Amino acid sequence: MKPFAQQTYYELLEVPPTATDAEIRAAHQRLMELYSPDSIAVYALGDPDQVAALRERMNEAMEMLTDADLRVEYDRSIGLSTERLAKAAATAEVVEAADKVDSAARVAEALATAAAALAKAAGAVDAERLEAESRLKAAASVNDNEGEAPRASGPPGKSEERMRGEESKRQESSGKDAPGVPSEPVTVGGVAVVEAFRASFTRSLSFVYVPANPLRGQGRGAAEAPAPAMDAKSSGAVEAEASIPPAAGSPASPDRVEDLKAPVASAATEAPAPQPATDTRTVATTPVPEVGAMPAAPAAATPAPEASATPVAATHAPDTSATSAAPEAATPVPEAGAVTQAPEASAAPQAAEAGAVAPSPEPASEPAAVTTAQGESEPNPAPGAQALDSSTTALARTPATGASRAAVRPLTSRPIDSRPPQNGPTGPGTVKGPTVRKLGDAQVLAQDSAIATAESALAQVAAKVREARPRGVDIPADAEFNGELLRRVREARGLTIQQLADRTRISVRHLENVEADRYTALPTTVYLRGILMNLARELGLDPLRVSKSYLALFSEKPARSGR
Amino acid sequence: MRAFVKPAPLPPSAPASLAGTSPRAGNDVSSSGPEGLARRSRARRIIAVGGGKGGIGKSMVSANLGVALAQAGQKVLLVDADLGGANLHTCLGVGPPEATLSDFLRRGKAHLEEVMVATGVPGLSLIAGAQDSLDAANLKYAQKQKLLRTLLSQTTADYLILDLGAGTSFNTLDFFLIADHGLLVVLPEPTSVENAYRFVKAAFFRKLQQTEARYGIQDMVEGALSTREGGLRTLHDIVAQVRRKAPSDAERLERELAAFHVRLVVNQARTDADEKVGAAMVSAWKKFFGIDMDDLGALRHDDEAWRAVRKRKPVLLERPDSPVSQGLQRIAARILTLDGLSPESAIP
Repeated sequence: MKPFAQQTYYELLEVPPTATDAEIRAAHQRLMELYSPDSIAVYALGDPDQVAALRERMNEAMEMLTDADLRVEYDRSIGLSTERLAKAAATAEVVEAADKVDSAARVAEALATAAAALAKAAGAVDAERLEAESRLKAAASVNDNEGEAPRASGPPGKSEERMRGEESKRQESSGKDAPGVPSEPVTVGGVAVVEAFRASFTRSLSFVYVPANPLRGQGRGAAEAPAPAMDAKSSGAVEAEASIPPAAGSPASPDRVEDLKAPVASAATEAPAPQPATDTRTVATTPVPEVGAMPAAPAAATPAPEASATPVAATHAPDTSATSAAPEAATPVPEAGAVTQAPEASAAPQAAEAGAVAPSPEPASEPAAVTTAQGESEPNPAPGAQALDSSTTALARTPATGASRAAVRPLTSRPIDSRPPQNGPTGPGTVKGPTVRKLGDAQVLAQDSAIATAESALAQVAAKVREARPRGVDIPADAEFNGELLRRVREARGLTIQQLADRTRISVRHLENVEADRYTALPTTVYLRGILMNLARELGLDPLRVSKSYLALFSEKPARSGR
Repeated sequence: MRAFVKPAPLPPSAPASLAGTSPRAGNDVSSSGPEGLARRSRARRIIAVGGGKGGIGKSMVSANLGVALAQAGQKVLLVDADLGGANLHTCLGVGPPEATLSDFLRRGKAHLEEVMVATGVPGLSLIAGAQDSLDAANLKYAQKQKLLRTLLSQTTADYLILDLGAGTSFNTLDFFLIADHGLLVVLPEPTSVENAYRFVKAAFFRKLQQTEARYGIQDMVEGALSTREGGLRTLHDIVAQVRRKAPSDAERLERELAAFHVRLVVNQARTDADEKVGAAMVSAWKKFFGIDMDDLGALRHDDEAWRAVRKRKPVLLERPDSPVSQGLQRIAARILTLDGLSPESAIP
């Protein structure tokens, strides 16, 4: 029993969360008829405004749910995907992970969705994905060993922040990651760290985890982050993580599942053990199937920015990947987003639901593309551009394993990449060492920037999503509700002063004075409080907060000016 | 009668009547008592037929539903609770009754049975409405309590059908609220729909008023009743408010609100679209209030119904094959099914 304003889009449209587009559209049409202004059944049921608001929300719901990308994002935001993932995971045997599985699955889902969203945002994702895949394949053998350790590293951090629900798991992972992330190993470990992260991720979550891992890694990276190195690590980790998942996914869905499980189990153990430098190495040794991806990641870590960008693209849309890969970097984000979005959206769901299976097909085709993309992408990537890319990729990766793989490769950048794969095959330990150090110095900065870019990319994605929904202004927790802010909120809701006056029955004059902060023209506190409370209620703000804040200004100013 | 000598046991499913409605508590003996054995041990059900607006067929539905249920083998007692405008007896073709509800309320008649009138339909008896005194509509509180108490303790009938008057006075709402099935008669036209919604809202707030003390929501309910919007957001607000204080109370309150079943009957449906109005109202109500209503079905607009009233006969007896009669039978069957008495097996 909740007012429709609090109902989910599914509840609004009275469809199950599993409804198809056609069902959603049919339900929408039926309801629009039912709630049409001349419908008898709703006559006098509520205020006309309420019915109009309901219709508006239903339109919004229909648009949101019939857009694959947005729906994934939305599902995540309401915790739906989590459930689905959890179920999927359970079915997939994630069960093995048992206790951890559920939470992990949720986290993974959240991460996956977030990643998917990001990937979408960044068109580059596809290209990256391809690269990642190719790298993954190459690295696959190597990766398997290394995989887990790398994951632990940072990139995930950002994504993590978004995925709060998963925090607990993240925390766990972060704890684990932390050790690996901190030191130079990061770079080396780019791979190593990533692997570690992955390992932890995988352990905690199965497939889903993979995506989640990157996020976590980032979050951890940030948390740990004490130093720039951390960031670098994190980025590397992210990449690594991304790569890991792809690797796992690409090979075979079954494999992935197993991998995941294995990692999960191992992750717990590994996480603790790995300390920064050592961790990466250890990770390498630990090798999980996924590990292969991880190695690549470390390598990628150095190149991080660029590499990451490409990976993202690669993850989801194989087709686009080639094209997107080039542009991919920072700029592509929006564009790429468009391109990749569709693919990603699908990919994300798949990952979540099918987890292992879905990814596999894509990887195969992508590899070739990926390699090319990588070649194109500049190893040196400017921090900014790279960062963006990496961030996007990271996100993309999270959603789809393939993406993650791609990311890994990009990170390494060509030079690194080539090395990592080689190393990987030969021995995780060797590979890690070199890459880490090399990347470490140069990458720290690059990674930092990459993180920043990733964050901005996330912000963009978030903004995009937000735009799709009719929402008000973002109001910081400590905002001062002065007239200006109230005006902005009102405008954000598309209300004129006159409309507001009609609804609140506060006179236009008062409203204007409130918005203009004309304190001397306003009535005394008692009345003003009533005005503010009503106004805030109408604007969907917290009446108490608004009146308190505004009245504080009100009482200050005149006194100060002394009149 | 027996009801008074020994207060009838309330079935466990008895509606949560008005707070403090009384002494029914005492007897669990009831159904297991010797008398209980005599009759089938079946929960007595109260059906209240309301709708807010006048002239929408409440009495027609009540009378014919009574006939249908009686024909299905149930013992039915029709009560004309339209205190100021009683005419249920006319719908049933019963002449001006010798005894009415007001005799029970104001004169010395202590037992409801003393004012019951036979209707000519086996199993169906009637308590006609008060029509002699001009202030019959203005039931005093004590009188109302007496009537409610008596109705709730009725054991002589399987079904008690209360035909309510128009409007949303507390008297009307209180009768509506003691029912197991609150039938809401609606015409597919804005005036009726408007009043129906108003009626249900008023009923829910009346219910809240009765329980408010337990939840500490007096202020909120009062505020909600006094403001123009009356309750759209406030029903949710009230639950939310209660939840803030005690989540378990909120759940109980929600359950209580949800346990009160409003069942829609769309009358005089002229088109197929009209027949869907009931379902649409259920959906809309649920959307806005989060409370389930139930669509019992529609009755087609049928001149036979009008002709039957002119003849002062229930259409169900007069024209059993007409569309409106079939609709009434469906609704009766629906109610029997809801009560776990399948229409077929309900033969005495």
